[in-house]
Amino acid sequence: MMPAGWFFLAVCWGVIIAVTLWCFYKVLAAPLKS
Amino acid sequence: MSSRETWGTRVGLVLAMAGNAVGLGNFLRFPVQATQNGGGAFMIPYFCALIFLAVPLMWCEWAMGRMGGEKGHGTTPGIFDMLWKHPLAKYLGALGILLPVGVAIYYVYLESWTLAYSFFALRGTFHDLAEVSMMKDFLASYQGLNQQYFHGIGTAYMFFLATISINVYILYHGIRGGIEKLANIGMPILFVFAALLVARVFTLGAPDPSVPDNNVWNGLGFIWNPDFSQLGNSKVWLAAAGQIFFTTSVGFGAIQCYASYLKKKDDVVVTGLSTTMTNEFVEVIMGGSLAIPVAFAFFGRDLTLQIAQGGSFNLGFAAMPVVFERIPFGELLGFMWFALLFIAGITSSVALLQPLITFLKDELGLSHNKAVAATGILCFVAAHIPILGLKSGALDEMDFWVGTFGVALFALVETLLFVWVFSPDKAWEEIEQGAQVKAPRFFYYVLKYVTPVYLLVLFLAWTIQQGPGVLRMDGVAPEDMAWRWAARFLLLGMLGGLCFLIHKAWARQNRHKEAAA
Repeated sequence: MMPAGWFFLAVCWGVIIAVTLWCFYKVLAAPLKS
Repeated sequence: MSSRETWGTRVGLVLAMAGNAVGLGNFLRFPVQATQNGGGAFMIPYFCALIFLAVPLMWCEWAMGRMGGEKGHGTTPGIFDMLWKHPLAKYLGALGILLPVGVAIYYVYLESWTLAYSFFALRGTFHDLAEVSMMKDFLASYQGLNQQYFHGIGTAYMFFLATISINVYILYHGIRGGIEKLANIGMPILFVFAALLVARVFTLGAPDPSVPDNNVWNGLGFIWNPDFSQLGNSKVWLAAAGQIFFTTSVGFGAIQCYASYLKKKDDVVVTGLSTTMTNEFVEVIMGGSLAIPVAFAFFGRDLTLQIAQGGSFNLGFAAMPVVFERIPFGELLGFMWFALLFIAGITSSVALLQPLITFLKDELGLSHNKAVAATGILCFVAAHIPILGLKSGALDEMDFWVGTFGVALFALVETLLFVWVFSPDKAWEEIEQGAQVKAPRFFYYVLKYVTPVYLLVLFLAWTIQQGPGVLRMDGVAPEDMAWRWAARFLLLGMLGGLCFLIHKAWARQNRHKEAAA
């Protein structure tokens, strides 16, 4: 794989993993209102 | 108004909504699209479409659903009637039931193939088929298109019956006891299977030491190496928007239905974003690391390109089993591959069938059992058109009208109604109600101006590019036309039937209101 390919992979994976983890942190922090 | 069911837990809701979005396309369609449309550079229009199209539209659908659910309307006829005080509004909402059910009618059949292949993989049924061309013949034979491996369509039909029965069984147990439980069990299994398969793929290296360039890392490069010249091509932007559109399951009416089981003060901003990001995680990270890299490592660049151009099913059902035949524990890995596709499929198909059940209950007052039975029977009977007319293209015909034309039209209509007719400020207020974290104000303007234009361009592009050809049945053999017409009449009949039921439902509700007054 070319360096540019690794760059795109790293950026996309990094953004997706970071936002997904933040979302789940928030979801687990507050349950549904009863 | 009787009290409606609600989701049990927030994690269950996120997994169920993510299950709705995560489908066969995450593992099969995305890698093919990325490979064919500029590799890493494809991710630029892909992320643009995610931010400007999918995320705002998803928030709209969640907010619309929650708003409708508060008033006892879990589907778009009732929701549109609340947004636009016009007699036509509720009939426009019929699309939000026709589209998911229309897709479910053939999707359940495709899903049944994954169930069948899971069994075949475990039993070693295609153990001796060492070439992709042989697996293609095997798939065609399974579909009843030749007699080489199966005598007729009996096996496929049995697995279809099993699949539809499982769907009905889950739906019969309701939102919390059926759909949420399925998501709570199924989605973690899907993640584990996908993670194990990705780990196995990443440790493959170069399967044939005599051709060291055919390795997994170059296979990843096949998807990720950017070809910036493709960014000037409008087709790449359309393909990226299309992929985002299909993968996030917006524009069907299914998200509104699930969201209608939220409570008034439940958050939709973070919860909705969580489901979209879970879908992206499965698609980009897991889906992008499986089929294409492994195909590249075993078959090399040229054959992988050929396989990808042959379509998603070629990749998933013909190339992947051949790969699994060539590595240790192939039966188990093959089973995991098809089982994860089945889980991805079933968590989507129950979401596609639920809107009709919710409509029959909410608007016509049917009991849950009757609504599930009616939906199951309709899906079972109607599915015979795509099953028996598969060779004649009945499934493709339905897929265009509901899965491409219909969703783009419906997404455009719902956005215009929610943002412009209902008013942008009220729509934004509705999204922000109960928000755990406020959505960035930037999205207010995106929702108001960019998303409707994006959708209009998509709708016009797909309609103009494909519509006339499909409508005229260009290139369709005369003997195949009957099945294609049958598919059209089925969809038109369902649309007419839904409009009739909506008319009856509103007449019934008016009678109740008058009696109460």
